[in-house]
Amino acid sequence: MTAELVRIVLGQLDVAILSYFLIVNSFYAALLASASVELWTHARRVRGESRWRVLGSDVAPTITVLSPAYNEAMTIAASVAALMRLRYANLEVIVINDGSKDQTFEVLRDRFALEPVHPIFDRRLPTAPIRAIYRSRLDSGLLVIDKDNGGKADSLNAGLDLAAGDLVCAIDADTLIEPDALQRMVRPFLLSDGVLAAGGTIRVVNDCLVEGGRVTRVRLPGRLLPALQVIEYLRAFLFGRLGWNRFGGNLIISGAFGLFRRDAVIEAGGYTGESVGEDMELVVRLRRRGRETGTAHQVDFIPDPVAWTEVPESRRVLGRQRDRWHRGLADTLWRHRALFLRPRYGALGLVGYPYFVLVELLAPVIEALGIVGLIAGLAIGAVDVTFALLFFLVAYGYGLLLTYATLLLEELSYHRYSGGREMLRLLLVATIETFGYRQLTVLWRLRGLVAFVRGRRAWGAMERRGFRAG
Amino acid sequence: MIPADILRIVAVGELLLAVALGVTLLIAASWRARSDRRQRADMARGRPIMIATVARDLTASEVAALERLGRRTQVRLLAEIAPSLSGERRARLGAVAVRLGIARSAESACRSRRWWRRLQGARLLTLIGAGDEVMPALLGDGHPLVRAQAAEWASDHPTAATLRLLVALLDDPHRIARFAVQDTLLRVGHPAIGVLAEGLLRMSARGIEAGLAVASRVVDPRLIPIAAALAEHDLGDVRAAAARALGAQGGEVAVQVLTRLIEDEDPRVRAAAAASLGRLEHWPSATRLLPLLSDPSWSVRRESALALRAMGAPGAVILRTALTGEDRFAADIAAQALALRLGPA
Repeated sequence: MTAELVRIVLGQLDVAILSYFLIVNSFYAALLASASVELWTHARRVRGESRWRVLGSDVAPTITVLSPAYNEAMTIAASVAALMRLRYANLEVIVINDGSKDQTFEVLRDRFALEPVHPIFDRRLPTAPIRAIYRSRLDSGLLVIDKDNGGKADSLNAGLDLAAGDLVCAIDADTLIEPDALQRMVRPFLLSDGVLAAGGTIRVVNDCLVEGGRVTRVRLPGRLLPALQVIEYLRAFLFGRLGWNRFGGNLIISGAFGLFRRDAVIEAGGYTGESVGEDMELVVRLRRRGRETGTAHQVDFIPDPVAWTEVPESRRVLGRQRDRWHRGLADTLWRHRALFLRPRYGALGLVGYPYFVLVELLAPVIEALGIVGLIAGLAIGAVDVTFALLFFLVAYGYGLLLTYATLLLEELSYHRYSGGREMLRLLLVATIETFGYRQLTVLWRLRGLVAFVRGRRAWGAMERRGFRAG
Repeated sequence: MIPADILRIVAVGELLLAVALGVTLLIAASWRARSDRRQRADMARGRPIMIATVARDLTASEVAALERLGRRTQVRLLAEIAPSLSGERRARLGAVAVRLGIARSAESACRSRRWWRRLQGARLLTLIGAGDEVMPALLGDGHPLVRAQAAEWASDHPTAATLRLLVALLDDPHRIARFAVQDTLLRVGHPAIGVLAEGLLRMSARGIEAGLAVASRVVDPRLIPIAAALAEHDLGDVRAAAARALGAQGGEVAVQVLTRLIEDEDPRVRAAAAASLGRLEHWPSATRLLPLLSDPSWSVRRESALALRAMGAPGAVILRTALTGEDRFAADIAAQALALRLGPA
């Protein structure tokens, strides 16, 4: 009797879960189609473009790069040197040492010949106490804020207060930005007065060759875990984020590389230190505020400005990162629950927000239900092995097809991983990513969801190997 | 429960599609790698010939070699070399582009119905410095990127007629076009200023602001009466822009207007006027800036303090007066300005 009941429940469950996979992946397919159109239009817009106008113009918008650093002694010198080599006329770089316990500040002070300064600035955003502000004697465009530890959001707020640029570019200290990335990133702000923020592509730097703060040779990482993340990043940025440009705009701009209107961010109250997903929370708040006040609320994603980031190489650190990302997602969606299906917020309330709740937030729950149901069915003999395998293949096969299609998009557009051999490796890694790794991320994301419900807010430490020098 | 047969059919379908996509990817990646190698070899062959064009006339065999490279490589070579050339050397490169038929096809592209074709054509003509017949018309194109490109082209072709069209474009609703015009006017410099001064009074507020932003980056006495007149404008943004432009010019009239503007009702105007007096280092105005250190607006207090600091000793005296005065805000901003002055920056 009980076995029969379980069989009936499982019978309904597999239809529901497969339908969920079908709907979600079909939406992904729509995003992929949208991203393809965007790439096509973008390629036409930028073909033959000479960006030296923006580079050399006095009237180009001024940009302040904000780089918060906490215990980044290993990579900080290379990262800041790369920032100082960015090709942009009106550039200011502010590094915020967030009370590092290692030698981060000492490395900065010695490498860039820092001297204390006393600038006049309006402290509109409250932050942890600032110990001192320094300017480099080697390059007057470099400022360093040395402050008590207050977290990433707090550091960014300190930088926002001091920043003089029309636009601020928030990056992670371990991020390498391509020299002409800011010239590309500033485009949407020149094209439309309604643009509030813009995001660029993040790629994985592990095992790439870095010379003088620039990635000179792109390689797929030799170790499996970072290689799997290459696939994830390609899928997330090349079609995930780009596709949203035609579906009402993005809800996320990566904290590792995003450009914002400074006045809008300050008026919105800056970054919130109460959320572990401060980057997403800010974008959602800015867009929501723009809608409510009838001001700029457009958030664009541009595929060609590229920043390179070091991804975790151990399962433990990666698990912590994904746990935190999911907590951040849950926290942001909870804070802005008033957006859900509200026509007042346009596509943000009717498409973007519901998608992030039903797909991004709840996906691990549904996937876990499917996997557990399948295992339970096998255990009690409600389903046979062939059915279980077929169900698993069908559910995840659609996702694999989309990943292959993303690789095709990458090959036809930027093809950073060149040659047949590298592509063969990418195909293999993409397959492993679908059947094995993805299920592992379900566990981490579920852990994040549970931690959010329990109210845990810790960040967890990131371990760095440093860039591979040429 | 879903029938296993249906699952089997779907799984086989997905598998076949995955194999097809995988094979396509491998072929595409291999083909692309080979094509890139060929392109690099073509570029290596064509580069010395293209570089030689800037120094001497090409032989018939060299022209034939360039023709054999194909249009894509020819354009890439031009794009690589042209930005670092100017004057006669750039003209010689342009002449080769005309000889190869690149200019003709670009002009034809400029007449296309598709905006991206017109944009490509305009970019090519800008690169090779040709297109006198088709480019001025593109300043009135329907697409902002094409208009912006035409404005960029105009910096190398600053005829009176083109400059008039350019100045009119300062009113463009798209920022990209306004940006390109501002940049071009700054590059052209003094020949453009007369036309700008004439055009400024006939524009909307948006155009005036864009024009005054140019005026605040050049020094030309013809701009003073125009900026002084615009300092009376109804909109605070325009008055602030006029104050900034006057701060770039200097002179008795400019100072008179600026000392009036520091009492403007709009804090943005007061801040801009104070900053301009500081930019001019006009120390006789120092005492007039003292009340501004107590202004309700932080940016006015900041700009006034920085202006006083820029004025040297007379400004420092005023800052020290504020430091010991009763107004807490004035004392605070003065203290910050004096610390800045004493600091090593």
